[in-house]
Amino acid sequence: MSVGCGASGTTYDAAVAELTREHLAELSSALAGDALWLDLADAPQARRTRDELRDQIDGYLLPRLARLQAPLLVVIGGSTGSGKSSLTNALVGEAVTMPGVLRPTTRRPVLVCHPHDRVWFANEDSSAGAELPELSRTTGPADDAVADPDGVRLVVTDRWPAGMAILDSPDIDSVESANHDLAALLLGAADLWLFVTTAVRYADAVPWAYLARAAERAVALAVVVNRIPGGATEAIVGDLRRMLNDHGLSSAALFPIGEGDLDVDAAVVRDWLWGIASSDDERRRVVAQTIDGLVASVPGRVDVVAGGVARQAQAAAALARAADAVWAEAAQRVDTGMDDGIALRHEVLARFSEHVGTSEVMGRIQNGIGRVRDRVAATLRGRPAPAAEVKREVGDTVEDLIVRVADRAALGVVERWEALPGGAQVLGRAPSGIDRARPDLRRDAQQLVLRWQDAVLEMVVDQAGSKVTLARSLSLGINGVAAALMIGVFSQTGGLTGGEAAIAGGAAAASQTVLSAVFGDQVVRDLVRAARRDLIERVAALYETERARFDQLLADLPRPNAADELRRLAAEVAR
Amino acid sequence: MSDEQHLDLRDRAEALEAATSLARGRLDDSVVDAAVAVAGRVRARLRHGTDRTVVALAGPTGSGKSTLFNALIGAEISQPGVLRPTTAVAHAALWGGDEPRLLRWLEIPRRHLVPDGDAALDGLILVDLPDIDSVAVANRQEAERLIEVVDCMVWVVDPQKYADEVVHDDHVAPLAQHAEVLRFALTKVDLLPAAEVPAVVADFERRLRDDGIPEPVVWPIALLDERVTPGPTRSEGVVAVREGLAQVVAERRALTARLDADLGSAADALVTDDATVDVALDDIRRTAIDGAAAAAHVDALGDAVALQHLRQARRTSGWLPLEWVRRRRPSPVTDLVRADGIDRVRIEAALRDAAESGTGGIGAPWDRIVRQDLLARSGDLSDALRSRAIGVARTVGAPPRWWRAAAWLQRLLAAATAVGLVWLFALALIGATYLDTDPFTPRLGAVPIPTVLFFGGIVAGILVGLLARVPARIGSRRRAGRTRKQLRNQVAEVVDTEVVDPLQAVLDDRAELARLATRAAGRS
Repeated sequence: MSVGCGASGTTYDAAVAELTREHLAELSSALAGDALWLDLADAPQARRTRDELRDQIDGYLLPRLARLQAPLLVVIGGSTGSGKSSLTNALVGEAVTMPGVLRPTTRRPVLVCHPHDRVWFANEDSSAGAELPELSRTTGPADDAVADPDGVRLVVTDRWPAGMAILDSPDIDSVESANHDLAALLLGAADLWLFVTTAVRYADAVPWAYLARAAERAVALAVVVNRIPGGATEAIVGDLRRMLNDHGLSSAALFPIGEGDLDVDAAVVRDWLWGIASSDDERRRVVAQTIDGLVASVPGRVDVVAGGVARQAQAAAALARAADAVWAEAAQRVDTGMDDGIALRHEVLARFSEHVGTSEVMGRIQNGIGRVRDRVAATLRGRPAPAAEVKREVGDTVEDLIVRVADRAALGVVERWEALPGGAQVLGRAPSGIDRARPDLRRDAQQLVLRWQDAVLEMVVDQAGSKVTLARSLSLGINGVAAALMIGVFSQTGGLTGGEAAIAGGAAAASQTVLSAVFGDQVVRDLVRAARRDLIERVAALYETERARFDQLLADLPRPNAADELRRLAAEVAR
Repeated sequence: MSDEQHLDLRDRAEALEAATSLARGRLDDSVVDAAVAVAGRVRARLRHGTDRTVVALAGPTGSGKSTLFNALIGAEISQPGVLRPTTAVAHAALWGGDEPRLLRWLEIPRRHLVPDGDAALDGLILVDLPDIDSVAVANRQEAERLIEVVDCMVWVVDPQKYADEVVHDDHVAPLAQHAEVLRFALTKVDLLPAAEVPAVVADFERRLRDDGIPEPVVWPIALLDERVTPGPTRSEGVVAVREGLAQVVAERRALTARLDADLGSAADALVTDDATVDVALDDIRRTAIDGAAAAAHVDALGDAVALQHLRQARRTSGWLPLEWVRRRRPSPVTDLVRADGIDRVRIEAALRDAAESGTGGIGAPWDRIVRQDLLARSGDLSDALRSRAIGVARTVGAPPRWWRAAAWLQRLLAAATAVGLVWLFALALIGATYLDTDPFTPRLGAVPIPTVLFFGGIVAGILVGLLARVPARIGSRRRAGRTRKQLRNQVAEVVDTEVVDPLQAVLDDRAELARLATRAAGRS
């Protein structure tokens, strides 16, 4: 951008202005995209800075750069009770706003302009574009209470010169906090700040927070000290000038107004304003100063926002990491839970090992007969075949294990999050039941177990190859081998042989013996390990969907690179 | 303040301190720290004498605190000025004698003894505070430090600043619990048109009520004694303030009220849950026992014991040749007791369900505290359950007496069968060698004795074995029932010692904290 803060006639190259506009618009939408809703320590400041910056870009810089020749907008801002409305009336020489003794007084801003300038501010022709586009306009009388309370009241009078409009804004420091927001918005849209304070207030912290912003943005500024008690003018003006210099505002014009001398002293202010209004060069200089100042302030302000965005991203990442860790641990827990063995109902195991035992004895009897016998037995006893029973029992237990571990893990994430910055707030937005597994998880776990069991079956067929015949010949059947494998997965005998297997329990030992007889020790070890790994992988994948519920809660928080992106866009603007 | 009140406040401070030690680690540290600070402050203030009343003039810069201070003393002690901010260090004026120890505790270095002041104000210590709203941050910090410790406050504002956010939202509203010791002065009312004064006062009162001060006392004071407009002069306003302060001093309520409110708010902050809702310990116990019994496989262990009993009965009372052939199998009990990882998960789930069954509606943080306490015990509970389960399953009862008889009978029958067999074999051998044809075989009726022995032994052995199954089955069922019952008792016992008793201690703490907080708040 062409910096041209010279004393005379600076104009903006239309092409440069257009480029700056593009960058600003891009920055504004990027700012809008980053959520800052976590209540971290620096979040309020980042939010305020972002909102102000966006308001200023959308409400002032973009329209101003598009219409550099528009009249100046002077915004009168300041504390409650500092006499902004009285000053406005004195400047215009007409009662355009209603001063009062009840604080705060002005709630609706009043904009005063010459009839020629009406088109710029009335917002009647939307194609022309106007300042403060989001505020509605009314032209009713001063006490019009029916009109939109958030709108700007427009007063068109030829007692005010063309080329400049003044706007009486609400206070910055009363208990009505809506007033502050509106005042900040209006000051953000000003070409020139006319900041009003009083002898009592000139050292208040709140107005100085605004003046510090004016200094940061290098906006064109004039300060009016109202209600100075008799004889104190020199002392107070001296003290205030010193404070302004300390804040880097030495270029600001300073106008004292004595208590009761409003009409006389306001004339000085009015002459100064009209002097600017009547000179094209002066007007352009003021606009250029304010635009340059604002554009130059963008990287610094974006840096504040980016700092907040980065902190939000960090907090989100920490929360995501905690959830990751808990769910990874949960999958691990399912794994070790199986290590410790599984309590199948004994009669199931007993029948199965009996079945395995008899198959050894009846080694030579054909598979077909074995199956027929199984079926006959099942009909007679009213029970499924032993292998199917084992399969079902294993399935139920694994399913139960998956669901309960997930239940505990969900609570674990909640507990971890409660201790992390922003965690409690994120949980506050979570649907109820976030501290439990999804209600659907049991059904999903059921499916998972069925699919795993199919996979084990397939594994037996694949791995065994030609030995399938041998397994058949043992009349155990593929199903029986698969069931034996499943039992193997759940006992420490998985991969062990000899003495330890015998200790581990009859059924497990029997199935181990059978498996070893069919495939040989090494293959059994591999099969058991593969079956187990397959199960754990499936569980981990299922837990991913559980974890996704927690990730979902963090979805609209900024990504880690969002802060850098903002800084990059800000650098583009200032270039 | 009477001695009785003094002692009562001291007791309440002690109760608050005791409550904080129970709350530490369970509630937010900042809440506990604040309560500790209040307890210490109350005790310190009481130690420094209770016959003086400390009243502070607080408010924004330029509202006329120092001017009012001087007017009340009747001398130019505090320097008002036109440059803002003015007073940076608190300044005290004492009526009725010096009180160096109290002022040292308040950390107010500058003091003025009011000579032959109004007797009605004897006992008053008036403090002119620095401002709360200027750019001088140190002023605000010093003012806020003293606002914490003084007995009574007069908030001084003027028509420009009476609606400032910093006055209402940052200071008066947070002090709403101290409404009894708050007074308000609206200065410079003669700068307003006389007709507007009542409206401004009314508006100020309305804002104070919005802050939570139900009946605000507002004293309007003029800046000057010579008024252009009709209305009370400055001296008249000052007299009203002086009378108001004299009343505060005379009632000697301010200190009690201030400390009372401090203790009350600190104590209330310690009780965020609904102390009237008890934790349903019975529900927790029942849910925990049910869950633990399931996780400890009480039913399955009963079945296993029954199965084992049946097998042993068969082995002792069954037909011997069959039992010799039958393979020995491992005990069904050990398989069940071994499993641990999954049971541990189940126990955790059971304890969590138990916690949730009993803490409905009690409120934070105690629902969380109870849950965490229960979950922390799952390891101990699971270990204890396992060792108990093994014990019960192994010692479920001595073998019934009839087993021995049946065993002997079976041996006898087997022996008879064997004798018969040998005899028959001998006879067959004799017959085969044509030695003789049955020279001296005794007969039972028409049947030879060896035949009776052999076949009778077999038939009787099988019969006895079959008959014995009836009592064995009955016995196994009974044993299963007894095992379940004993196990359940054991589970209940373990849950009581490992879960319920420790939880009871936590709940006792909760009740004690609520009791102490009620005491500290002065409601008991």
